Amino acid sequence: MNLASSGQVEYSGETGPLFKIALANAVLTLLTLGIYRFWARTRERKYMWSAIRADGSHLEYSGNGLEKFLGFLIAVAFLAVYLGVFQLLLTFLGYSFFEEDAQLGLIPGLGFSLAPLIILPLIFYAQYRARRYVLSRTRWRGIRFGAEKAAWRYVGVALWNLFLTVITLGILYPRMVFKLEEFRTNHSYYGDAKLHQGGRWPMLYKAARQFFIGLGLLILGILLTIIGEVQGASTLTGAGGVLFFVANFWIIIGGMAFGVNAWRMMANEKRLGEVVTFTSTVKTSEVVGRYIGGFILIGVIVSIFVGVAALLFGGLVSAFDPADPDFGQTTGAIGLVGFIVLYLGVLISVSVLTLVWITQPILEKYVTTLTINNAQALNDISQREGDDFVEAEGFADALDVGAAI
Amino acid sequence: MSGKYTSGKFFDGQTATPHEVAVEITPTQIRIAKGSEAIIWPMENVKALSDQARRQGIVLECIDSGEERLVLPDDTIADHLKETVPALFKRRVSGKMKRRVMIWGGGAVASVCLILFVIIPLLANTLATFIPVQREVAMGNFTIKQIENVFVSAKKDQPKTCTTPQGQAALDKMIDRLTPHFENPYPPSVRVMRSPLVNAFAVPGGHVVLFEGLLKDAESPEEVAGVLAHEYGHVVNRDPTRLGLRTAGSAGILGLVFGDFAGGFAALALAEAMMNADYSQEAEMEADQFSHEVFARAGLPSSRLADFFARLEAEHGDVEGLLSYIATHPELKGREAAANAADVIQGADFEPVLTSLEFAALKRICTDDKRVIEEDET
Repeated sequence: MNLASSGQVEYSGETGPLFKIALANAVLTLLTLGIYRFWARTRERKYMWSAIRADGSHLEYSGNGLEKFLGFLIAVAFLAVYLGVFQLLLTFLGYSFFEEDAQLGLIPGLGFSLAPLIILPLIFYAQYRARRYVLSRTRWRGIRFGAEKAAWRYVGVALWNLFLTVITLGILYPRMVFKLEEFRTNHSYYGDAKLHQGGRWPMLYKAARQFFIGLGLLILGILLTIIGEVQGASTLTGAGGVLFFVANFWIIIGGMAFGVNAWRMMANEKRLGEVVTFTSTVKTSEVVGRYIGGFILIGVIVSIFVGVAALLFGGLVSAFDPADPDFGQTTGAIGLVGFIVLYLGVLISVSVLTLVWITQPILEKYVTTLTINNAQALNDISQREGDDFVEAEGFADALDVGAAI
Repeated sequence: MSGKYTSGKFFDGQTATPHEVAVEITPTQIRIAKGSEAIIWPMENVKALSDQARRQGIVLECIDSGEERLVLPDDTIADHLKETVPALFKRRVSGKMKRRVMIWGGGAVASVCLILFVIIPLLANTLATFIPVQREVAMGNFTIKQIENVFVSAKKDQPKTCTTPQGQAALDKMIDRLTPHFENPYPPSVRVMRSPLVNAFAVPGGHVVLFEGLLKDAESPEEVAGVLAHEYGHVVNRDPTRLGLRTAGSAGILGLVFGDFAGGFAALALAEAMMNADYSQEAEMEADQFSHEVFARAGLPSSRLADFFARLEAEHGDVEGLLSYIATHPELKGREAAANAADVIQGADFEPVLTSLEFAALKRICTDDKRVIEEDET
């Protein structure tokens, strides 16, 4: 066995075994009315964590389903009253401020647009705590990762940066992405070694270039359309419309590319302890291509599934005699069963296929392009104190803002 | 006693340094030789990590010393352990954990019940009185459009709301017979919609909607008047608005409990139907009572309502047992008895709501427009 440090990171997860886990999970989650979701996520994480092999050793996910379920119960006990009253007040505001517009009919008033503001701090809070839980349950070479208890400070940083982003119409969005990642990184540990985020936020503007080009095209498209309308030049209006259409795609793909670019740039500026650094060579085009390819593939498969099922049930209905007095009832029952089968089938296949065709391949791309520099220094890192995290990621579960995996 | 020998990687849980170790596996223990030191793991405490993606070997831990890990890359050794150690992947749940789950499970259930059955209803009832009437009317117009889209089976060239001169005159006469006997905070609004369903609604803002199917099913004008009085009861109590607020509040909670999982939609729909059924059972009782009172003041026999319930029961059957929890309206038998008991006329003569000619005109309020309409599906 070779114990020399290479710093290479490999990924050994395969589609087949993960597909089996995901399928069993989806079915069990359905049968238990959602209770199994805590155990389901544990199994998926165990598989994907153990597939990551850094410098010869596999990661380990040591969380369990029961502790997640407990955390969820705790969160429900606290949040039920808050969310119930909150939702009701919101509807009250909705009723009170519903405006009747002559052309548009009824439009939601002020009450609805305020909704996210009230729940936003709680979402950031839950996201930080969920991350802290996952880190505390991740081990490598028997040593735990961890994060400091800083959820409320994180909420402060997140809200302030969000405010700056909104009042600058999104121009400071890269700053927000950087500042949040910096906060999360600087409060994270592997064993007793602290992680550190280097670099400065303006560097991310390079990562967002395509996104801002898309934004520029969008504004240009809108301007052309308006000028065309005012001057009655239909070619100008048409060009504006085409530009507007193209710009939307450009923004979506540019946004994805920004995510990958920013991740790579910030990974390259991270440092663990004094000497361990990272090099990521993840290719933006490959990750974005995988996203788009995955979406298209899943879309095609699900459409085929729906088409075949519709044909099948249609054929079943045509086998009955319309003159039969029970015809309406029989076909109605078949329709209902058909709808339920279709609905559940689509949900299961989308969740399973997303995991094996999008989540895992993209994780693989990120992981296998990462190198740990000076990995031999990792050997000196010692264990950190355990984080007895009773609520697990319960708040994130309850608010449904948990991580994708 | 001799056992199987292999080699592996050992992590002591103190530092991240990997140690190459020689390992001896016997039926009762695993002996790890780390340099000159020997670590003994009793076999009953040895557990393996599950759902691992590694292509070969096995990772072991000892539940007494949770931080240590032993990685054995040899597949034959892994298979040997899987065959000979029956509880290799089974983990006991500690008593402390079980107690915690029970306590917090109770706490979560109590908290959800408190908010669903006490706080939200109280708050909804209070808040409903603060909503300005014009807003409710606007909301109602919106809801009526939705009802038209979902339930009304009119052809393209047919109006969704039915009206004929004679039918409308009969309907107005019926309304005039009832409305002097109670105070309505809303502008009056009653309409008949083209739908074969035997049903009627009260919508926020004091709108009442009768379905054509109900008019066709009725055998006397008093039956229709009774349904109308019942819906007026909902209107006066502001039920649609109160129930709307309650439903919104409880939807938030139920979404929280069931989460966004594949079956969540169905569970959510079922749970919400039960919630609403419970709210409206109470509201329906009150609306029934209201209709009896209005009938008494208008000099009308509420026993005619009982006839209607009896016929509904004979035609469609009652929903009893488990289903009655989901049904929005209380059991028909109980409503029938209540209507009979509240009758002040007791078989004496009374001035009918409509003449038989007017009643016939009302029943044909949707058909007299000389267009052929598609007949029922029932």
